[in-house]
Amino acid sequence: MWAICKREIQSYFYSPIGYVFIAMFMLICGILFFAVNIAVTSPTSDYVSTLQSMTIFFSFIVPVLTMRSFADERKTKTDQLLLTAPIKISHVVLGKYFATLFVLFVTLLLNTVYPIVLSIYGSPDAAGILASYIGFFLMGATFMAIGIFISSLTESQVVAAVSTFAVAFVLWLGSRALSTLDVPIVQTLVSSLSIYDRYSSFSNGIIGFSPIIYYLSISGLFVFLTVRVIERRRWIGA
Amino acid sequence: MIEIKNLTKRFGQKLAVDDISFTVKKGEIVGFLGRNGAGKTTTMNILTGYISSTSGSASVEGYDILTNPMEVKRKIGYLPEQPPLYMDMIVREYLNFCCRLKEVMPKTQKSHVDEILELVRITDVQKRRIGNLSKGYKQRVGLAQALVGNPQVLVLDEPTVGLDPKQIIEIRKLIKKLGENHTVILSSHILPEVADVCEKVIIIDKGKIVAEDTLDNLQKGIGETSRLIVRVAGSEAVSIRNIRDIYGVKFAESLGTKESGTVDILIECDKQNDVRRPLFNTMAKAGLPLLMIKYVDVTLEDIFLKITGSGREMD
Repeated sequence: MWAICKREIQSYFYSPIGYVFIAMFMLICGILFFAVNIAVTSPTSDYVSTLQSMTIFFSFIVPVLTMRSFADERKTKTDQLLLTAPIKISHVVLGKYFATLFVLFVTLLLNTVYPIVLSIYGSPDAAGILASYIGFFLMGATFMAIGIFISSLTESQVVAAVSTFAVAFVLWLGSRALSTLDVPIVQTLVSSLSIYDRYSSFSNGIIGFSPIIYYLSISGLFVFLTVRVIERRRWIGA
Repeated sequence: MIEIKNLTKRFGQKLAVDDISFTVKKGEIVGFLGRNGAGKTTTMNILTGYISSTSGSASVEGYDILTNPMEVKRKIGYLPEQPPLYMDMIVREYLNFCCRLKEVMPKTQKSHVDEILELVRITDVQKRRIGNLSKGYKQRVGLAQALVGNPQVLVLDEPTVGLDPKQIIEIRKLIKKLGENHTVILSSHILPEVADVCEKVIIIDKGKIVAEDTLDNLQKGIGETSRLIVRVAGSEAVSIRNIRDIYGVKFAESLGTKESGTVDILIECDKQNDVRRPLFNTMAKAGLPLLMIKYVDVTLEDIFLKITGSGREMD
Protein backbone atom coordinates (compact mmCIF):
# COMPACT_ATOMS: atom_id res chain seq x y z
CA MET A 1 0.00 0.00 0.00
CA TRP A 2 2.77 2.45 0.92
CA ALA A 3 4.66 1.54 -2.23
CA ILE A 4 1.67 2.65 -4.28
CA CYS A 5 1.18 5.72 -2.14
CA LYS A 6 4.81 6.72 -2.61
CA ARG A 7 4.68 6.16 -6.35
CA GLU A 8 1.54 8.25 -6.66
CA ILE A 9 3.07 11.11 -4.71
CA GLN A 10 6.18 10.94 -6.88
CA SER A 11 4.09 11.01 -10.00
CA TYR A 12 2.15 14.06 -8.76
CA PHE A 13 5.41 15.92 -8.48
CA TYR A 14 7.14 14.47 -11.55
CA SER A 15 4.32 15.81 -13.63
CA PRO A 16 2.99 19.34 -13.31
CA ILE A 17 -0.23 18.09 -11.71
CA GLY A 18 0.84 18.43 -8.07
CA TYR A 19 2.27 21.87 -8.69
CA VAL A 20 -0.76 22.98 -10.67
CA PHE A 21 -3.06 21.91 -7.87
CA ILE A 22 -1.05 23.70 -5.20
CA ALA A 23 -0.58 26.77 -7.35
CA MET A 24 -4.29 27.04 -8.13
CA PHE A 25 -5.17 26.63 -4.51
CA MET A 26 -2.66 29.25 -3.40
CA LEU A 27 -3.68 31.64 -6.16
CA ILE A 28 -7.39 31.53 -5.40
CA CYS A 29 -6.70 31.68 -1.70
CA GLY A 30 -4.35 34.59 -2.29
CA ILE A 31 -7.03 36.50 -4.15
CA LEU A 32 -9.52 35.84 -1.37
CA PHE A 33 -6.92 36.78 1.22
CA PHE A 34 -6.29 40.02 -0.58
CA ALA A 35 -9.98 40.73 -0.98
CA VAL A 36 -11.12 39.77 2.50
CA ASN A 37 -8.15 40.59 4.69
CA ILE A 38 -6.21 43.37 2.99
CA ALA A 39 -7.91 45.37 0.28
CA VAL A 40 -11.08 46.21 2.18
CA THR A 41 -11.56 49.58 3.86
CA SER A 42 -11.11 48.06 7.28
CA PRO A 43 -8.59 45.22 6.97
CA THR A 44 -9.33 42.29 9.23
CA SER A 45 -7.38 39.38 10.62
CA ASP A 46 -10.41 37.12 10.17
CA TYR A 47 -8.74 34.32 8.19
CA VAL A 48 -11.47 31.84 9.17
CA SER A 49 -13.96 33.37 6.76
CA THR A 50 -11.31 33.41 4.03
CA LEU A 51 -10.95 29.67 4.42
CA GLN A 52 -14.72 29.30 4.56
CA SER A 53 -15.03 31.02 1.16
CA MET A 54 -12.24 28.83 -0.12
CA THR A 55 -14.23 25.60 0.40
CA ILE A 56 -16.27 26.06 -2.79
CA PHE A 57 -13.31 26.90 -4.98
CA PHE A 58 -11.39 24.04 -3.47
CA SER A 59 -14.06 21.51 -4.38
CA PHE A 60 -13.85 22.69 -7.98
CA ILE A 61 -10.12 22.02 -8.28
CA VAL A 62 -10.29 18.57 -6.69
CA PRO A 63 -10.52 16.86 -10.12
CA VAL A 64 -7.02 18.12 -10.94
CA LEU A 65 -5.70 15.61 -8.44
CA THR A 66 -8.21 12.81 -8.73
CA MET A 67 -9.08 12.61 -12.43
CA ARG A 68 -6.02 10.54 -13.28
CA SER A 69 -5.97 8.07 -10.46
CA PHE A 70 -7.81 5.09 -11.91
CA ALA A 71 -8.94 6.39 -15.29
CA ASP A 72 -5.36 6.71 -16.45
CA GLU A 73 -4.29 3.34 -15.06
CA ARG A 74 -6.98 1.69 -17.10
CA LYS A 75 -6.20 3.61 -20.22
CA THR A 76 -2.47 2.85 -20.12
CA LYS A 77 -3.16 -0.70 -18.83
CA THR A 78 -0.84 -0.20 -15.89
CA ASP A 79 -3.68 -1.51 -13.74
CA GLN A 80 -2.61 -4.92 -15.04
CA LEU A 81 0.54 -4.58 -13.01
CA LEU A 82 -1.30 -3.62 -9.84
CA LEU A 83 -4.08 -6.17 -10.16
CA THR A 84 -1.81 -9.12 -10.97
CA ALA A 85 0.63 -8.33 -8.17
CA PRO A 86 0.14 -9.98 -4.78
CA ILE A 87 -1.62 -6.98 -3.30
CA LYS A 88 -5.24 -6.42 -2.29
CA ILE A 89 -7.42 -4.09 -4.32
CA SER A 90 -8.35 -2.22 -1.16
CA HIS A 91 -4.66 -1.48 -0.60
CA VAL A 92 -4.30 -0.18 -4.12
CA VAL A 93 -7.23 2.18 -3.59
CA LEU A 94 -6.06 3.29 -0.16
CA GLY A 95 -2.52 3.87 -1.46
CA LYS A 96 -3.85 6.20 -4.09
CA TYR A 97 -6.24 7.85 -1.69
CA PHE A 98 -3.53 8.57 0.88
CA ALA A 99 -1.37 10.06 -1.85
CA THR A 100 -4.07 12.65 -2.60
CA LEU A 101 -4.37 13.34 1.13
CA PHE A 102 -0.64 13.92 1.30
CA VAL A 103 -0.82 16.52 -1.47
CA LEU A 104 -3.79 18.11 0.28
CA PHE A 105 -1.84 18.20 3.54
CA VAL A 106 1.17 19.83 1.88
CA THR A 107 -1.13 22.37 0.24
CA LEU A 108 -2.74 23.33 3.51
CA LEU A 109 0.64 23.46 5.21
CA LEU A 110 1.92 25.89 2.59
CA ASN A 111 -1.31 27.81 2.94
CA THR A 112 -0.53 28.64 6.57
CA VAL A 113 1.74 31.35 5.21
CA TYR A 114 -1.32 33.61 5.01
CA PRO A 115 -2.36 33.37 8.68
CA ILE A 116 1.32 33.62 9.66
CA VAL A 117 1.58 36.89 7.76
CA LEU A 118 -1.63 38.00 9.44
CA SER A 119 -0.24 37.18 12.86
CA ILE A 120 2.65 39.57 12.27
CA TYR A 121 0.34 42.50 11.66
CA GLY A 122 -2.65 41.55 13.74
CA SER A 123 -3.97 38.95 16.11
CA PRO A 124 -5.91 36.30 14.22
CA ASP A 125 -7.99 33.73 16.07
CA ALA A 126 -5.40 30.95 16.24
CA ALA A 127 -7.73 28.31 17.65
CA GLY A 128 -10.42 29.09 15.09
CA ILE A 129 -7.91 28.90 12.26
CA LEU A 130 -6.48 25.59 13.49
CA ALA A 131 -9.98 24.11 13.76
CA SER A 132 -10.75 25.44 10.29
CA TYR A 133 -7.68 23.74 8.84
CA ILE A 134 -8.62 20.45 10.47
CA GLY A 135 -12.14 20.78 9.11
CA PHE A 136 -10.81 21.76 5.72
CA PHE A 137 -8.61 18.68 5.59
CA LEU A 138 -11.52 16.40 6.51
CA MET A 139 -13.80 18.03 3.99
CA GLY A 140 -11.03 17.83 1.39
CA ALA A 141 -10.52 14.15 2.15
CA THR A 142 -14.19 13.58 1.45
CA PHE A 143 -14.01 15.29 -1.93
CA MET A 144 -10.85 13.32 -2.80
CA ALA A 145 -12.67 10.05 -2.07
CA ILE A 146 -15.56 11.12 -4.31
CA GLY A 147 -13.12 12.17 -7.03
CA ILE A 148 -11.25 8.88 -6.94
CA PHE A 149 -14.51 6.98 -7.04
CA ILE A 150 -15.60 8.87 -10.16
CA SER A 151 -12.19 8.28 -11.71
CA SER A 152 -12.63 4.54 -11.22
CA LEU A 153 -15.81 4.60 -13.30
CA THR A 154 -14.24 5.72 -16.54
CA GLU A 155 -11.22 5.32 -18.76
CA SER A 156 -11.13 8.96 -19.69
CA GLN A 157 -9.49 11.56 -17.51
CA VAL A 158 -11.58 14.28 -19.10
CA VAL A 159 -14.83 12.51 -18.29
CA ALA A 160 -13.60 11.93 -14.74
CA ALA A 161 -12.62 15.57 -14.31
CA VAL A 162 -15.82 17.00 -15.74
CA SER A 163 -18.02 14.60 -13.77
CA THR A 164 -16.23 15.33 -10.52
CA PHE A 165 -16.54 19.02 -11.17
CA ALA A 166 -20.23 18.62 -11.97
CA VAL A 167 -20.85 16.62 -8.80
CA ALA A 168 -19.11 19.26 -6.67
CA PHE A 169 -21.05 21.99 -8.41
CA VAL A 170 -24.42 20.27 -7.99
CA LEU A 171 -23.68 19.53 -4.33
CA TRP A 172 -22.84 23.15 -3.76
CA LEU A 173 -25.71 24.58 -5.78
CA GLY A 174 -28.13 22.08 -4.27
CA SER A 175 -27.22 22.93 -0.72
CA ARG A 176 -27.42 26.66 -1.48
CA ALA A 177 -30.76 26.41 -3.25
CA LEU A 178 -32.35 24.15 -0.67
CA SER A 179 -31.22 26.21 2.29
CA THR A 180 -33.05 29.25 0.90
CA LEU A 181 -36.33 27.35 1.22
CA ASP A 182 -38.16 28.53 4.30
CA VAL A 183 -38.87 25.04 5.56
CA PRO A 184 -37.11 24.27 8.85
CA ILE A 185 -36.78 20.55 8.22
CA VAL A 186 -35.12 21.10 4.84
CA GLN A 187 -32.72 23.56 6.39
CA THR A 188 -31.83 21.11 9.13
CA LEU A 189 -31.33 18.35 6.56
CA VAL A 190 -29.13 20.51 4.37
CA SER A 191 -26.98 21.69 7.24
CA SER A 192 -26.48 18.16 8.48
CA LEU A 193 -26.01 16.44 5.11
CA SER A 194 -24.26 18.98 2.91
CA ILE A 195 -20.55 18.50 2.64
CA TYR A 196 -20.11 22.28 2.57
CA ASP A 197 -22.42 23.08 5.47
CA ARG A 198 -20.85 20.49 7.73
CA TYR A 199 -17.71 22.56 7.57
CA SER A 200 -19.29 25.56 9.29
CA SER A 201 -18.96 24.15 12.80
CA PHE A 202 -15.18 24.07 12.32
CA SER A 203 -15.32 27.73 11.28
CA ASN A 204 -16.86 28.46 14.62
CA GLY A 205 -13.77 26.98 16.23
CA ILE A 206 -15.50 23.79 17.31
CA ILE A 207 -13.98 20.44 16.49
CA GLY A 208 -17.20 18.50 16.80
CA PHE A 209 -17.47 14.76 16.97
CA SER A 210 -20.35 14.45 14.56
CA PRO A 211 -18.87 16.36 11.56
CA ILE A 212 -15.67 14.33 11.94
CA ILE A 213 -17.64 11.09 11.88
CA TYR A 214 -19.67 12.44 9.00
CA TYR A 215 -16.62 13.25 6.85
CA LEU A 216 -14.82 10.03 7.73
CA SER A 217 -17.81 7.87 6.94
CA ILE A 218 -18.53 9.55 3.60
CA SER A 219 -14.84 9.16 2.67
CA GLY A 220 -14.91 5.54 3.80
CA LEU A 221 -18.05 4.89 1.80
CA PHE A 222 -16.53 6.17 -1.44
CA VAL A 223 -13.24 4.33 -0.91
CA PHE A 224 -15.29 1.18 -0.38
CA LEU A 225 -17.37 1.86 -3.50
CA THR A 226 -14.19 2.36 -5.51
CA VAL A 227 -12.92 -1.04 -4.40
CA ARG A 228 -16.26 -2.56 -5.37
CA VAL A 229 -16.22 -0.95 -8.81
CA ILE A 230 -12.77 -2.34 -9.54
CA GLU A 231 -13.66 -5.78 -8.23
CA ARG A 232 -16.83 -5.82 -10.26
CA ARG A 233 -14.95 -4.96 -13.41
CA ARG A 234 -12.88 -8.10 -12.96
CA TRP A 235 -16.09 -10.11 -13.22
CA ILE A 236 -17.82 -8.42 -16.08
CA GLY A 237 -14.60 -7.79 -17.98
CA ALA A 238 -13.29 -4.62 -19.51
CA MET B 1 2.23 -26.99 -12.24
CA ILE B 2 -0.46 -25.04 -14.08
CA GLU B 3 -3.87 -26.54 -14.44
CA ILE B 4 -6.72 -24.98 -16.36
CA LYS B 5 -10.03 -26.81 -16.08
CA ASN B 6 -13.19 -26.16 -18.10
CA LEU B 7 -12.43 -22.47 -18.18
CA THR B 8 -15.16 -20.32 -19.67
CA LYS B 9 -15.37 -16.57 -19.99
CA ARG B 10 -18.30 -14.65 -21.32
CA PHE B 11 -18.27 -10.95 -22.14
CA GLY B 12 -21.95 -10.16 -22.32
CA GLN B 13 -23.19 -12.25 -25.24
CA LYS B 14 -19.76 -13.07 -26.56
CA LEU B 15 -18.12 -16.30 -25.51
CA ALA B 16 -14.44 -15.37 -25.40
CA VAL B 17 -13.14 -18.59 -23.89
CA ASP B 18 -15.23 -21.71 -24.30
CA ASP B 19 -14.63 -24.55 -21.86
CA ILE B 20 -10.89 -24.99 -22.28
CA SER B 21 -8.72 -27.30 -20.23
CA PHE B 22 -4.98 -27.89 -20.34
CA THR B 23 -2.03 -28.47 -18.08
CA VAL B 24 1.51 -27.21 -18.19
CA LYS B 25 4.28 -29.13 -16.50
CA LYS B 26 7.10 -27.55 -14.57
CA GLY B 27 9.86 -26.25 -16.78
CA GLU B 28 7.92 -26.41 -20.03
CA ILE B 29 7.80 -23.64 -22.58
CA VAL B 30 4.31 -23.69 -23.98
CA GLY B 31 3.20 -21.75 -27.00
CA PHE B 32 -0.31 -20.47 -27.03
CA LEU B 33 -1.24 -20.03 -30.60
CA GLY B 34 -4.26 -18.49 -32.21
CA ARG B 35 -5.45 -15.73 -34.42
CA ASN B 36 -6.27 -12.32 -33.03
CA GLY B 37 -9.39 -12.54 -30.91
CA ALA B 38 -9.11 -16.30 -30.42
CA GLY B 39 -9.09 -16.00 -26.63
CA LYS B 40 -5.38 -16.11 -25.82
CA THR B 41 -5.24 -12.85 -23.91
CA THR B 42 -8.46 -13.59 -22.05
CA THR B 43 -7.10 -16.93 -20.89
CA MET B 44 -3.87 -15.31 -19.73
CA ASN B 45 -5.75 -12.53 -17.97
CA ILE B 46 -7.75 -15.12 -16.06
CA LEU B 47 -4.70 -17.18 -15.14
CA THR B 48 -2.92 -14.11 -13.79
CA GLY B 49 -5.97 -12.96 -11.85
CA TYR B 50 -6.57 -9.77 -13.79
CA ILE B 51 -10.09 -10.81 -14.66
CA SER B 52 -12.28 -13.58 -13.32
CA SER B 53 -13.62 -16.52 -15.23
CA THR B 54 -17.32 -17.07 -15.74
CA SER B 55 -16.87 -20.70 -14.76
CA GLY B 56 -14.11 -23.27 -14.46
CA SER B 57 -10.88 -23.00 -12.58
CA ALA B 58 -7.26 -22.05 -13.03
CA SER B 59 -4.61 -23.09 -10.56
CA VAL B 60 -0.87 -22.91 -10.12
CA GLU B 61 0.82 -25.55 -7.98
CA GLY B 62 -2.52 -26.47 -6.48
CA TYR B 63 -3.46 -22.91 -5.53
CA ASP B 64 -6.68 -21.76 -7.15
CA ILE B 65 -6.75 -18.24 -8.53
CA LEU B 66 -10.19 -17.59 -7.06
CA THR B 67 -9.71 -18.95 -3.56
CA ASN B 68 -5.99 -18.23 -3.18
CA PRO B 69 -5.27 -15.30 -5.46
CA MET B 70 -2.28 -14.02 -3.46
CA GLU B 71 -0.40 -17.32 -3.62
CA VAL B 72 -0.98 -17.62 -7.36
CA LYS B 73 0.02 -14.04 -8.04
CA ARG B 74 3.27 -14.55 -6.13
CA LYS B 75 4.16 -17.40 -8.45
CA ILE B 76 3.41 -15.65 -11.72
CA GLY B 77 5.23 -12.92 -13.58
CA TYR B 78 3.01 -11.42 -16.26
CA LEU B 79 3.92 -9.42 -19.31
CA PRO B 80 0.63 -8.25 -20.82
CA GLU B 81 0.31 -7.42 -24.48
CA GLN B 82 0.83 -3.78 -23.67
CA PRO B 83 3.58 -3.62 -21.04
CA PRO B 84 2.22 -1.97 -17.88
CA LEU B 85 4.76 0.83 -17.70
CA TYR B 86 4.48 4.16 -15.96
CA MET B 87 5.87 6.51 -18.57
CA ASP B 88 6.82 9.15 -16.02
CA MET B 89 9.10 6.84 -14.05
CA ILE B 90 12.78 6.09 -14.40
CA VAL B 91 13.57 2.48 -15.33
CA ARG B 92 15.34 1.59 -12.11
CA GLU B 93 12.79 3.35 -9.97
CA TYR B 94 10.01 1.48 -11.76
CA LEU B 95 11.67 -1.86 -11.07
CA ASN B 96 12.17 -0.87 -7.44
CA PHE B 97 8.46 -0.13 -7.28
CA CYS B 98 7.73 -3.57 -8.76
CA CYS B 99 10.00 -5.11 -6.15
CA ARG B 100 7.94 -3.57 -3.40
CA LEU B 101 4.68 -4.68 -5.04
CA LYS B 102 5.99 -8.20 -5.40
CA GLU B 103 7.36 -8.46 -1.89
CA VAL B 104 11.05 -8.62 -2.67
CA MET B 105 13.06 -8.27 0.52
CA PRO B 106 14.38 -4.70 0.80
CA LYS B 107 17.83 -6.13 1.61
CA THR B 108 18.13 -8.06 -1.62
CA GLN B 109 16.31 -5.51 -3.75
CA LYS B 110 19.38 -3.78 -5.14
CA SER B 111 21.18 -6.93 -6.23
CA HIS B 112 17.92 -8.41 -7.55
CA VAL B 113 17.26 -5.39 -9.76
CA ASP B 114 20.90 -5.34 -10.91
CA GLU B 115 20.59 -8.98 -11.90
CA ILE B 116 17.41 -8.42 -13.90
CA LEU B 117 18.77 -5.32 -15.62
CA GLU B 118 21.76 -7.36 -16.68
CA LEU B 119 19.66 -10.32 -17.81
CA VAL B 120 17.37 -8.36 -20.11
CA ARG B 121 20.26 -6.06 -21.01
CA ILE B 122 18.85 -2.72 -20.05
CA THR B 123 21.55 -1.76 -17.56
CA ASP B 124 22.59 1.10 -19.85
CA VAL B 125 19.14 2.71 -19.79
CA GLN B 126 18.39 2.22 -16.10
CA LYS B 127 18.52 5.95 -15.40
CA ARG B 128 16.31 6.98 -18.28
CA ARG B 129 12.66 7.87 -18.21
CA ILE B 130 10.53 5.00 -19.52
CA GLY B 131 8.44 7.30 -21.72
CA ASN B 132 11.57 8.27 -23.66
CA LEU B 133 12.67 4.73 -24.46
CA SER B 134 12.22 3.04 -27.82
CA LYS B 135 9.60 0.36 -28.22
CA GLY B 136 12.13 -2.45 -27.99
CA TYR B 137 13.52 -1.15 -24.73
CA LYS B 138 10.04 -0.61 -23.33
CA GLN B 139 9.23 -4.22 -24.12
CA ARG B 140 12.35 -5.31 -22.28
CA VAL B 141 11.50 -3.19 -19.28
CA GLY B 142 8.10 -4.91 -19.35
CA LEU B 143 9.83 -8.27 -19.40
CA ALA B 144 12.09 -7.16 -16.54
CA GLN B 145 8.97 -6.28 -14.58
CA ALA B 146 7.65 -9.82 -15.09
CA LEU B 147 10.92 -11.24 -13.75
CA VAL B 148 10.83 -9.25 -10.52
CA GLY B 149 10.43 -11.50 -7.52
CA ASN B 150 11.77 -14.48 -9.47
CA PRO B 151 8.39 -16.06 -10.16
CA GLN B 152 8.31 -19.71 -11.19
CA VAL B 153 5.88 -19.08 -13.99
CA LEU B 154 6.20 -16.48 -16.72
CA VAL B 155 3.14 -15.57 -18.71
CA LEU B 156 4.08 -13.56 -21.79
CA ASP B 157 1.39 -12.17 -24.05
CA GLU B 158 2.73 -11.57 -27.53
CA PRO B 159 6.15 -10.53 -26.30
CA THR B 160 7.57 -9.67 -29.70
CA VAL B 161 4.70 -7.78 -31.23
CA GLY B 162 5.70 -4.48 -32.78
CA LEU B 163 9.44 -5.05 -32.53
CA ASP B 164 11.91 -4.92 -35.38
CA PRO B 165 13.41 -8.20 -36.65
CA LYS B 166 16.65 -7.82 -34.70
CA GLN B 167 14.82 -7.11 -31.48
CA ILE B 168 12.51 -10.06 -32.11
CA ILE B 169 15.47 -12.41 -32.38
CA GLU B 170 16.96 -11.00 -29.18
CA ILE B 171 13.74 -11.31 -27.22
CA ARG B 172 13.25 -14.88 -28.43
CA LYS B 173 16.76 -15.78 -27.36
CA LEU B 174 16.08 -14.27 -24.00
CA ILE B 175 12.83 -16.20 -23.60
CA LYS B 176 14.61 -19.45 -24.45
CA LYS B 177 17.20 -18.65 -21.84
CA LEU B 178 14.51 -17.86 -19.28
CA GLY B 179 12.86 -21.15 -20.12
CA GLU B 180 15.82 -22.95 -18.61
CA ASN B 181 14.65 -22.18 -15.10
CA HIS B 182 11.09 -20.95 -15.49
CA THR B 183 7.85 -22.41 -16.70
CA VAL B 184 6.81 -20.20 -19.60
CA ILE B 185 3.49 -19.68 -21.31
CA LEU B 186 3.84 -17.57 -24.38
CA SER B 187 1.12 -16.44 -26.69
CA SER B 188 1.59 -15.50 -30.26
CA HIS B 189 -0.08 -15.36 -33.60
CA ILE B 190 3.29 -15.56 -35.25
CA LEU B 191 3.85 -19.21 -36.02
CA PRO B 192 7.62 -19.30 -36.61
CA GLU B 193 8.05 -17.72 -33.21
CA VAL B 194 6.28 -20.55 -31.48
CA ALA B 195 8.15 -23.05 -33.63
CA ASP B 196 11.41 -21.43 -32.62
CA VAL B 197 10.86 -21.08 -28.90
CA CYS B 198 8.32 -23.59 -27.64
CA GLU B 199 8.39 -27.30 -26.90
CA LYS B 200 4.66 -27.70 -26.72
CA VAL B 201 1.94 -25.93 -28.64
CA ILE B 202 -1.64 -25.26 -27.73
CA ILE B 203 -3.71 -24.03 -30.63
CA ILE B 204 -6.81 -22.10 -29.77
CA ASP B 205 -9.48 -20.91 -32.13
CA LYS B 206 -12.73 -19.13 -31.37
CA GLY B 207 -12.26 -19.75 -27.66
CA LYS B 208 -11.72 -23.49 -27.98
CA ILE B 209 -8.57 -25.58 -27.93
CA VAL B 210 -8.26 -27.26 -31.30
CA ALA B 211 -4.91 -28.96 -30.78
CA GLU B 212 -2.49 -29.57 -27.97
CA ASP B 213 0.69 -31.49 -28.62
CA THR B 214 4.42 -31.29 -29.03
CA LEU B 215 5.66 -29.60 -32.14
CA ASP B 216 7.11 -32.84 -33.52
CA ASN B 217 3.84 -34.70 -33.20
CA LEU B 218 1.89 -31.91 -34.80
CA GLN B 219 4.27 -31.90 -37.73
CA LYS B 220 4.07 -35.67 -38.05
CA GLY B 221 0.34 -35.54 -38.55
CA ILE B 222 0.67 -33.52 -41.66
CA GLY B 223 4.05 -34.86 -42.66
CA GLU B 224 3.07 -37.96 -44.64
CA THR B 225 2.75 -35.88 -47.72
CA SER B 226 5.36 -33.69 -49.24
CA ARG B 227 4.60 -30.61 -51.22
CA LEU B 228 6.07 -29.00 -54.26
CA ILE B 229 5.53 -25.78 -56.06
CA VAL B 230 6.22 -25.84 -59.78
CA ARG B 231 6.22 -23.04 -62.30
CA VAL B 232 5.04 -24.08 -65.75
CA ALA B 233 5.16 -22.07 -68.95
CA GLY B 234 1.79 -22.95 -70.40
CA SER B 235 -1.93 -22.83 -69.79
CA GLU B 236 -3.26 -23.47 -66.34
CA ALA B 237 -5.95 -26.02 -67.16
CA VAL B 238 -3.74 -28.16 -69.37
CA SER B 239 -0.88 -28.12 -66.89
CA ILE B 240 -3.05 -29.17 -63.98
CA ARG B 241 -4.70 -31.91 -65.98
CA ASN B 242 -1.31 -33.32 -66.93
CA ILE B 243 0.04 -33.15 -63.40
CA ARG B 244 -2.99 -34.87 -61.89
CA ASP B 245 -2.40 -37.83 -64.17
CA ILE B 246 1.05 -38.48 -62.74
CA TYR B 247 1.28 -41.48 -60.43
CA GLY B 248 1.73 -40.43 -56.79
CA VAL B 249 0.22 -36.98 -57.09
CA LYS B 250 -2.60 -36.61 -54.60
CA PHE B 251 -3.53 -33.06 -55.15
CA ALA B 252 -2.75 -30.20 -57.52
CA GLU B 253 -3.98 -26.67 -57.43
CA SER B 254 -3.16 -23.45 -59.19
CA LEU B 255 -1.57 -20.68 -57.19
CA GLY B 256 -2.01 -18.14 -59.96
CA THR B 257 0.42 -16.33 -62.17
CA LYS B 258 3.57 -14.92 -60.64
CA GLU B 259 5.51 -14.42 -63.86
CA SER B 260 3.80 -13.51 -67.08
CA GLY B 261 3.05 -16.45 -69.36
CA THR B 262 3.49 -18.99 -66.56
CA VAL B 263 1.42 -20.51 -63.84
CA ASP B 264 2.45 -21.72 -60.37
CA ILE B 265 0.99 -25.00 -59.20
CA LEU B 266 1.01 -26.55 -55.76
CA ILE B 267 1.35 -30.32 -55.73
CA GLU B 268 0.89 -32.70 -52.85
CA CYS B 269 2.20 -36.22 -53.10
CA ASP B 270 3.16 -39.25 -51.02
CA LYS B 271 6.44 -38.94 -49.23
CA GLN B 272 7.62 -42.33 -50.56
CA ASN B 273 7.05 -41.33 -54.15
CA ASP B 274 9.46 -38.86 -55.62
CA VAL B 275 7.38 -37.36 -58.41
CA ARG B 276 10.01 -35.00 -59.77
CA ARG B 277 11.28 -37.29 -62.54
CA PRO B 278 7.85 -38.36 -63.86
CA LEU B 279 6.80 -34.76 -63.54
CA PHE B 280 9.67 -33.58 -65.69
CA ASN B 281 9.06 -36.27 -68.32
CA THR B 282 5.34 -35.73 -68.50
CA MET B 283 5.55 -31.99 -68.80
CA ALA B 284 8.34 -32.17 -71.38
CA LYS B 285 6.29 -34.55 -73.46
CA ALA B 286 3.29 -32.23 -73.26
CA GLY B 287 5.40 -29.27 -74.35
CA LEU B 288 5.02 -27.47 -71.04
CA PRO B 289 8.47 -26.36 -69.87
CA LEU B 290 9.06 -26.51 -66.14
CA LEU B 291 10.77 -23.34 -65.04
CA MET B 292 10.98 -24.20 -61.37
CA ILE B 293 10.49 -27.09 -58.97
CA LYS B 294 10.62 -26.25 -55.28
CA TYR B 295 9.95 -28.28 -52.14
CA VAL B 296 7.76 -26.61 -49.54
CA ASP B 297 8.49 -27.39 -45.89
CA VAL B 298 5.63 -28.31 -43.65
CA THR B 299 5.20 -25.26 -41.50
CA LEU B 300 3.16 -24.42 -38.49
CA GLU B 301 1.01 -22.37 -40.84
CA ASP B 302 -0.03 -25.57 -42.54
CA ILE B 303 -0.78 -27.27 -39.26
CA PHE B 304 -2.63 -24.26 -38.04
CA LEU B 305 -4.70 -23.78 -41.14
CA LYS B 306 -5.43 -27.47 -41.41
CA ILE B 307 -6.61 -27.70 -37.83
CA THR B 308 -8.61 -24.50 -37.77
CA GLY B 309 -10.09 -25.51 -41.11
CA SER B 310 -9.49 -22.21 -42.82
CA GLY B 311 -8.62 -23.78 -46.14
CA ARG B 312 -5.51 -23.25 -48.16
CA GLU B 313 -5.10 -19.57 -48.48
CA MET B 314 -1.40 -19.61 -49.00
CA ASP B 315 0.73 -18.03 -51.62
